[in-house]
Amino acid sequence: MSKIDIAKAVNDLDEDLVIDGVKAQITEGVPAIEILAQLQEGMEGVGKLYEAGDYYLSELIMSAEVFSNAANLLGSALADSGNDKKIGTVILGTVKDDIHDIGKNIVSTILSCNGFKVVDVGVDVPIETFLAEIEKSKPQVVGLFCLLTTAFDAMKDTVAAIKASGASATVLVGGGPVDESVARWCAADGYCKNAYDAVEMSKKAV
Amino acid sequence: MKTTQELLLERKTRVNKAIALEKTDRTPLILMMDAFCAKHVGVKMADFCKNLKASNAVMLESAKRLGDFTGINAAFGAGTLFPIMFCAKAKLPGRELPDDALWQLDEREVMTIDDYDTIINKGWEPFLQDYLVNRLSYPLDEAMKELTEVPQLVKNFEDAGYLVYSPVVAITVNEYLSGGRSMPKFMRDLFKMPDKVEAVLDVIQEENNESLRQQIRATKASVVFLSPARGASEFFSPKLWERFVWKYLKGSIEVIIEEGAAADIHIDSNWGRDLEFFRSLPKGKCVFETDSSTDIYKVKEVLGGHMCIKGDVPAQKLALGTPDEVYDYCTRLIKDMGTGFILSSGCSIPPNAKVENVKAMIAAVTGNM
Repeated sequence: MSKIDIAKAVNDLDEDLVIDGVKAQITEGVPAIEILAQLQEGMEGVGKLYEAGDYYLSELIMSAEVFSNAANLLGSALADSGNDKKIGTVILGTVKDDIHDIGKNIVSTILSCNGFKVVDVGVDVPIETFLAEIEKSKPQVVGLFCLLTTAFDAMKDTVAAIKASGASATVLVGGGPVDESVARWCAADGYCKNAYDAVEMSKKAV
Repeated sequence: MKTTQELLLERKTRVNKAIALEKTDRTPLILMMDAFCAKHVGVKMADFCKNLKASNAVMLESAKRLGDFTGINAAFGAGTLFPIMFCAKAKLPGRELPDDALWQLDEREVMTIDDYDTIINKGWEPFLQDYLVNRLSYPLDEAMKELTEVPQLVKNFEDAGYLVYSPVVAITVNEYLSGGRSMPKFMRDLFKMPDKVEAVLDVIQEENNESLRQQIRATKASVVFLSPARGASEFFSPKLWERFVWKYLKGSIEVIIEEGAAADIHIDSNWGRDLEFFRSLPKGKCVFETDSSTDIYKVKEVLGGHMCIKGDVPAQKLALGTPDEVYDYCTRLIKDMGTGFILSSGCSIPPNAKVENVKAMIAAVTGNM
C-alpha cells in the first residue's frame, strides 16, 4: 500500500504528490473506485477549507485541476469497476441573451468533483433547450446563471416555464448580479452565492 | 441662471473637494452609464456601438434629459474597446448579437503559455499589437484613429456643463492575462508557474505605467479610472493577492498620484478582507469606487477620512427596485457616508434600469423628489 495520503495531498493542492499517489495505488492494484473515493475525500476537505474562508476561488480552481488530472489516470479502470453511481443529476446553463460561462463552468467542475452528474447545456440557452434536457435527463436540480441584469427577465421566464412543465426539479439561480432578492423575484427555489452553496443545496435536493 | 461653464466649474470643484475629503455644497453624483443611455434615448445598441462619436451623442442626449447631476464617468461607450482592455474578443450587437443586445466579452483561452515567453523576450506592446490584430482579428488601426477623437468627445460634455469624471481609463496588468488566458487558466498558472507569470506581469507593468504617465500628461486628467476588477480579494488567497494583484495595483496608483492625478480604483466584487492595504495609499488622493459587493459601511469604517468613497447603488436595485427604494437607499448613503463621498451606481447603470430610478438618484442629491 502506498504511503502517500491522496486525500491530504488533494487537500494541500500538491498535484505532483497526488499523481504519484494515484500511480502507485494503480500499480499496487487498488481498485479505481477506491482511489476515486480518496480523491473525492480530498475535494470535500477543499470544500470545508473554502467554507471556512481559508481557501478562495483560486484554490478551488487549482483543486479541480488536480482532481481532474488525477481522475484521468484512472481512465477506463473506473468505468470497468462499475463506477456509474452518482449522487444525482444537475442541469446547468446560462440563460438566453447571456454568453458568460466562467461561474457556470466552475460550479459544473465542483459539482462533478463532488459526485454529481452534470449536464451542461451551455450559454445563451433558450427555454425550450432547458425543457428538452429536463425531459431527457430527469434531473433533481436545474441551475440557471446570468451575469447581465438584462438577462433577469429570461431567468424569470425560464424558472416559470420549468415550473409550468411539471418538472419536479429544484431550480437554483446564481451569477454576478443575482442575490436573494433576484431569486425571490424569479420565484426560484434557491440562490447559490458560490460553488459550494450549489453543492450543499444540490445535496439537499436529491 | 448659470452658464454651462459656470456649472462645469462648480461641478469640478465639487468632485475635487470630495476627493480631497473636504466639505462640498452637495454630494456629487457621477453617473457611470453607457448602454443605459441607448435604452433611455431609444437608440438600438447596434447604432450606439457604431463608433465612439455615436455613443457620445447618445450619452449626451441622455444626460441632458436626466438633468442636474455632476458628471459622467466616461465620454463614450467602451464596448468596442473591450478587446484592447481584456485581450479577449467582444461580441457586439448587430454583428454577432441581435441589434438591440448588450455587448459581451467572449472570454476563452486565446493567449497561450508560450505567449508568456514571447512577452518576456520581445516586450508587451509588440506582442499586444500582433495579438489583437492576428489572434483576435481586432481592427486596431481603426480603433486608434477613433481614440484620437476623445478630446472632442470630452469637450462635448463639458460644453453642456457636465464633468467627464475620469477621461483616462487604465486597467491593472493582471486583467490582460486573466482575460487572454481566461480567468480559470490564469489562476492555474499562478500555482503552476508563478515566477514566470510574475516576470510577464513585470514586463507589462513597466510599459503600461510609462504609457499611463504619457496619457495623464497629454490629457491633464485630474482623475484616472483604474480597474483591477477581477483581482478581487474574494477570488484569491492572501499570498496570491498580494503578489499578483496588490503589488501591481499599488504600483499603478503611485504612478497616477506622482503625475498629479487622483486614482479612481474601480472595485468590483468583494474586497472586504484587504481594505487595510488601501490605508497605505496617500490620504485624499484616491477614490474607492465600489459596486456594492464590498460592504460600503465596512469601507467607511476602514477608509473613511482617508480615501473618498464612490458608489454603490446596486444594479439589481436600479433594474428591479422602485424609485422610492432607490431614493431611500441613496439618501441613507449620503447621510451615513458624509464628507468624502460621491454617489454613483455600483459599476455601470444597467441598460434595463428604470429611468425613474436613475432620476431618483438625482433627486437624492438635489432634494427634488
